[in-house]
Amino acid sequence: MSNEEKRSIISIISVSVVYIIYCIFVFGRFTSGSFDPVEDLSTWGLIILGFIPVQIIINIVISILYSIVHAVVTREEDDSEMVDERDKVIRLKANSAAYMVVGVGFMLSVITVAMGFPVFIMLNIVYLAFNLAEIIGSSIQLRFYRRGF
Amino acid sequence: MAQCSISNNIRRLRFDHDEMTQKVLAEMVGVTRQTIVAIEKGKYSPTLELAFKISHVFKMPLEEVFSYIKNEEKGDTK
Repeated sequence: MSNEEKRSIISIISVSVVYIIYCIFVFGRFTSGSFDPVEDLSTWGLIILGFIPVQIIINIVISILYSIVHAVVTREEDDSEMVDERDKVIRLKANSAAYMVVGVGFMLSVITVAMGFPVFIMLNIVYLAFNLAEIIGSSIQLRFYRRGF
Repeated sequence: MAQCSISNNIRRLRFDHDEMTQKVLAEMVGVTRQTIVAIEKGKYSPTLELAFKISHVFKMPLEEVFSYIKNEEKGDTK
């Protein structure tokens, strides 16, 4: 398995794990009755804003750990910083798919507001769409690195 | 519409050039080793620029390194 394939898998796992942590955290807050999900929009904003740096930090930490483990196990330098024409095409395909997922998610979120659902549902659909976009983008990268094109 | 693919002799040419490694070839043409692996396995069709760079490394014309085969022709030869 190539370096790029491993990095795609790590990305899928880290995004999924952080999103599951987010769901557990929100569900915990909801069941404890510490905030009103319909009215307390500023809390929703703070929770989502808080999870964005958490996601970034976890990605950076996992990336550093992976580079260290890779260097120790294979005794080779991690050349993932080098991006060539094949990487650019694969990233372009992955980004196009991710962009589409975000677009569909945004449309769905607007539809929920138009139908009169509470705004926190819109916020959560948008947040889910970004996470799904990352997972689908990484899955597409993995597919193209594995099977070629 | 018929699908087509590009085959190549890079593996053999590397062997003929003092058993050049994939890494050395990758460094000479400015791509990652994984891209050379993908090209050799037929999983990636290189751009024209990269194809020329590879053929220049082996000092051979492009058509002796790469060949264009339609899937229909592939089927005929089987």
